[in-house]
Amino acid sequence: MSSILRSFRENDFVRFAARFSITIILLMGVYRFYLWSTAQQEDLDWITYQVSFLSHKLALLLGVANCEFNCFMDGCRIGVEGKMINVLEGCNGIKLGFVYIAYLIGVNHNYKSTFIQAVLGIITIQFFNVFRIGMLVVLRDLGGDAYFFFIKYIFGVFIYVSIIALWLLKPAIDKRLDKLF
Amino acid sequence: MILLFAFISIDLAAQGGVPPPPSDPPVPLDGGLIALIAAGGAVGYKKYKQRNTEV
Repeated sequence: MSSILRSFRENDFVRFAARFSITIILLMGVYRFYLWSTAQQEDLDWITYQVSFLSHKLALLLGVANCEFNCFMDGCRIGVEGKMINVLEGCNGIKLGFVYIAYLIGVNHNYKSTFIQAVLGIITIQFFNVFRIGMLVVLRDLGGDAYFFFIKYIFGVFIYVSIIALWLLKPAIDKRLDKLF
Repeated sequence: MILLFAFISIDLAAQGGVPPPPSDPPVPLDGGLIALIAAGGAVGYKKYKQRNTEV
């Protein structure tokens, strides 16, 4: 029995899977606690608010006149009256960032590289998410619900594929970062 | 892994909340979270399988 356990412990993939799973559970746990504490204060979480706020700014920059921005306890509404979209907690993209970071910690090339890639990854995911929501506000304003829903899912899939691509490119990114630092 | 999926499923189910008005569609991004976790596991498996065959 102990030899089976030892062979499991010495298996690289099992160690990766354990680190990956534990990191996700820890990050999600902390995040859920944070959501619970903001709900206790009858407040909206900071991440959803910031993503909504920046998306609203982007929509204004892209020329959506009279673009309104209202936040409530469960999320924000952005857009022109009658053509608004709801940015709820599940739209803020932070959980995707957690899964991305969990993979980096699971592989654990070195701490410096993991930290740099985690920060850059979160910024990249949030950048694309704000761009996605800003563009959706514009498309909703321009009309054509079919096009709006098409773009809504295409942008989502693009972010997922980008994360998987970053995972696959990680060895090459690690080599570059090792040379830099 | 089973615990992890159970944890995430509860987390996603808990997001039901108050449904938004039909005229204001939500734009969720975490609908494929479990698929992304599975993809992460698959990428990791591929990486370590390759490493083991190279040694």
